[in-house]
Amino acid sequence: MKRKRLTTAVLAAILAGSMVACGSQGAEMTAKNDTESENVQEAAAASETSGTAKDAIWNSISKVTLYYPVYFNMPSDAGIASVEAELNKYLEPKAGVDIELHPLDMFQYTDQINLVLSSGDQVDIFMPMAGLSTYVSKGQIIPMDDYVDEIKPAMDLMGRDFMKSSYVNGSLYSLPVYKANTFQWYFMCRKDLAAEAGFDLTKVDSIDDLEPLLTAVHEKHPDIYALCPTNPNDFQLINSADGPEFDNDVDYLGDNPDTCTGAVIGDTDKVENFYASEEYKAMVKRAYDWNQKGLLMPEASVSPDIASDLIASGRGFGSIIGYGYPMNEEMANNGNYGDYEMTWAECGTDLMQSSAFNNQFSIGYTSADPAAAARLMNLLWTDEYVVNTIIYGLEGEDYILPDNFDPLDDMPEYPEGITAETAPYQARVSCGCFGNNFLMYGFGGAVKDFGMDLINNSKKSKYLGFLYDGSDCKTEITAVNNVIKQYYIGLACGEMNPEETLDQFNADLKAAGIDAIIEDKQSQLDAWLAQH
Amino acid sequence: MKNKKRGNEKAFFIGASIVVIIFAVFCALPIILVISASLTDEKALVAEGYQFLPSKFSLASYAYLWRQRAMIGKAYLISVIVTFIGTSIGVLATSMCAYPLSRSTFRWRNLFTFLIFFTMLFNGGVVSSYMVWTQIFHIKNTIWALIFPNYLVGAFNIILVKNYYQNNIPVSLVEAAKLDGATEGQIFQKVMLPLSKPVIVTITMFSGLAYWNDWTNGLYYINKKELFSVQLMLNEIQQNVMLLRTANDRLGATAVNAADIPSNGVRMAIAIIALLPIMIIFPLIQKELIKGVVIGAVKG
Amino acid sequence: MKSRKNKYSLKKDLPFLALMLPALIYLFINNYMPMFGIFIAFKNINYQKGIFRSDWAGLKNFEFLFRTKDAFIMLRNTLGYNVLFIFLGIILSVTLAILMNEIGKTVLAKIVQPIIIFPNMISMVIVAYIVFAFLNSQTGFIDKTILHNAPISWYSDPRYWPAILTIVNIWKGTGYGSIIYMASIAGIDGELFEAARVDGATRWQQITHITLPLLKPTIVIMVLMSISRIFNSDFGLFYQVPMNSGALYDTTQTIDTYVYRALMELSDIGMSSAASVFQSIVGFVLVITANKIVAKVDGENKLF
Repeated sequence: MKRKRLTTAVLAAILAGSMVACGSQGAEMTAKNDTESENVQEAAAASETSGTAKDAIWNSISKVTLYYPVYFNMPSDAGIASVEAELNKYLEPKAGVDIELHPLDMFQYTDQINLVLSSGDQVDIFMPMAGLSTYVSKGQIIPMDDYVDEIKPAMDLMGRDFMKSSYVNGSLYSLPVYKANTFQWYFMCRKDLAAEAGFDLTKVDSIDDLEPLLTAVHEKHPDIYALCPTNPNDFQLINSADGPEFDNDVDYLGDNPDTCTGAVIGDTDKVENFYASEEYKAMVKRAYDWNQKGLLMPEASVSPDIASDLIASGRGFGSIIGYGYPMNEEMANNGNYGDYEMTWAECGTDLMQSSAFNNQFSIGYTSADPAAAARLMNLLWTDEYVVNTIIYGLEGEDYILPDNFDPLDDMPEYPEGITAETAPYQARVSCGCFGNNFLMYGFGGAVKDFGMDLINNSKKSKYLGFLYDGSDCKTEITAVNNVIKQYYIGLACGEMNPEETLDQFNADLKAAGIDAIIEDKQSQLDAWLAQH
Repeated sequence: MKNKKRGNEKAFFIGASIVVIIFAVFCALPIILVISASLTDEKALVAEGYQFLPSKFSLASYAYLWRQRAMIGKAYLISVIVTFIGTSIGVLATSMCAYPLSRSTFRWRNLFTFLIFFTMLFNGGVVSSYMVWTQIFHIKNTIWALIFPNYLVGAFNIILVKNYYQNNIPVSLVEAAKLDGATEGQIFQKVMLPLSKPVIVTITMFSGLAYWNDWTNGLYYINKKELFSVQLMLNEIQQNVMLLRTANDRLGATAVNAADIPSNGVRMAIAIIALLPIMIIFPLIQKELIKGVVIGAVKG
Repeated sequence: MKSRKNKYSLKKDLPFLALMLPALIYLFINNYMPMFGIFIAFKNINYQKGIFRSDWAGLKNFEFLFRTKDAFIMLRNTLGYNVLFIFLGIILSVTLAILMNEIGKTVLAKIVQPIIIFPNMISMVIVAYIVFAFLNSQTGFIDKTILHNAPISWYSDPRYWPAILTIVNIWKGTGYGSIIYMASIAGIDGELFEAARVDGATRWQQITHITLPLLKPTIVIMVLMSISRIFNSDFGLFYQVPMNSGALYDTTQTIDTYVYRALMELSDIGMSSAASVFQSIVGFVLVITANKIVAKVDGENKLF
């Protein structure tokens, strides 16, 4: 029974939106540290018995297939089978479903999902990664309006605002992964060089404030790249600037900065060409300016090098990175940057974009029993036994909970002699894209507090929930995307002079038909605004 | 006269050797760069770029792959089995199919050549192939998924062999055999096959390389770790290493220690590991490519 | 009378058909059965309706190939590079095959043979890193050793890329391509060379009078097969090797890279199969034409 209480308590805390409640919950749990692992087991046992009582409700057990991405160490067949067997003992009485796990390696995910969907295999629950409206217009997913009762607990848990992006044409099509869905931007850099420059990192509010620091480091150490690309060919200079730095936030209306076919800037309700805006011009001008001053790694538009490698090898100073997690000494120095001690500055939070909910789960059109799929889906958001078993595997075999384990802030360890590579089952790296992130071991404490703060208190776009359906403008979208790819990286990396290229860029966009897309987007946005 | 001729031949031989050596160096230099990079300390690699000799020697990349040896070893076994079965069946079916197409007495030879060539031009795409192979033949997640789709028999190889039969094997040999009362099957087996060793070796190599290098069949049809081929496994490692290095997720650290993986070096070590079997097998088959066929001997 | 003749002929052809059967069955399953997928190019796919019952889209899926300012550039590049690569490929591969044959069964040949195949075994991603190692402005060999006074920014000037891509293509393909010709030379009746030598022919004469003419059928077939793929391009060569640099589109954009870039976000199977159907049709028309010409000039060597 304890287990149930715990879930309800978390639920209550979230519904109240109160960090205090959540915090006290955490304190309570920490106090019980020593008996924690027993508690969890007990809890699981308790729900099992409570579930058995409901046995009679299910006339038949439906098979539900779950396709989810895993990284790296793919679970073994035997591992999957035993996790399925254990889960089914719990799920059959509780929800009348038999789960069939289909972990797909992340690098195969999109390809395989498209293939299994097109071939008619039973796909009950999966992630529509290429954008919800695309899957709706191709008929690959089904509306869940008839199953709202089944998923009501999950929906209530997240609240209406969080669910806004799950509706297409008024029908519910998905549940968004429950986790921090905007970023806190950080500037991560070498502590020694920052200290040498005598720069107070706490005074930083936005990326612009970094210039004196970068300049000082560059002058003292011309061989070290002051700002390194976070990902290949990407300094994050645009992503990190579109929210925090300008009076008017940019909402890309479902696109990304590098695929934007029309954005609203500010609360104007007017769709415009992002690349012709003053805001974009300011961003790429700064990139060019910094490149000319030698603050950016040169040739970043083609180099495969990334910040973590460059810093570790002594050739880089810092990079801009966005996290939905709180930064602390331990995380900053997790070894990713080699032997250098790292420090950080906070550079503002993102706007909660209309596209903030891109991690979602939907029900495939080949689902055999959508009601059963919805029941299982609900548990992925509300039942920590199910969630933790899918992420961490079976206790004793795939993980152990050490003494003094704090389920809110600690992560399980591997059993003696077992590593991430040899564990029969583990899907740990999938944590950020699965069901309810905050129910997982290690995510219920500080991470959750931070995430809830971002969810509740970050600036939200007026257009949150608007989804653009581009199926009438496909030809234009392809041509426009091609033009964007020609200029975007070069401009964002500061290697193309905006004074010379921006006009050409926008002329090409016009020729490719961006105006037609903007018009289409505008009329869809108007219709959406009229409804909301 | 004889001396002059011999001198001429010698000069030709030396000239040919020099050009071939220059070309081989041209081919080998970038590969030496890859080998050197795979043996260079990760930090030195990023700081100083690729060098022909490791600026700071390190076995970390291979040590990382060695830690994955259980998986990679299994994958090697899968690749060897798949390559062996696929190539054997494929080469036999290909050379059997090419024989009638090379015979001018075969009535439908142009029609069939066209139908076979047509498959080189048009294809239905990945989705429809996937549907045929998984919905009708149910090969998903079986070893056959690595053997059957795409590579077993290809128009390109059939046409190569047909062309060889047609141009390098005298029709008189076939006619002589016919007069001796040999059936078409016997002619194929006793005359064509032994005389076409060079082209058979060639298509064996093409087919073997295609199987060895393939990872798309695995990408589409396999999601069981137990059936990953070497190339699929190496691709997976490479792509995931990159993902982890850039994603820097909170749990990433507990699943695998991303910082311990020399991502640049591993990429290069992977390229070398995939080359290994070719280095071992090549000397075994290459002599067939050079050896001239003395048709006269068979004729007599 | 007539029917008896047919019967006789069928009986004569039966052994042939039996020999071809395994390959034909395979090609039917692997290549012909999935051809229903070509419909996708003309449909507005809705998965719930299935491929056949989805609405017709006419030629709408093809539009994106031509509604771009890059249409001319990508057609020109695809064709230009292919023609260049076919020519160079044949000249260099044939030359290499002849030279390899000259050095015969020496130790040198044994060492060289695998080395010239290796480049073909290296994936384009790795090749791209190698090229970058040579050309990048920070640690690149070319700028560091040869041009240290006047570095060139290779990745932002499209003028250099036709040469760079050609060199990479030669590096990667010549050794592999020469195998076919080596096999053909190995298949030449040794007595022919023996007789020529007795007649006092030099090596050069033997090559021009025996080897090359006997290689002609193989060369013709290889050209015909290349023509059928003249609207396709090696994606890795044109996308990965130039590091996807936007500044180089003028000389690196081909049909395949355009399709990839344009459809990256939409991932629309209707449009991607339209692109491949378009490439196939053009290749088909060209190869039929080329085959007709070959048939007229030199009937022996036609493809079908």
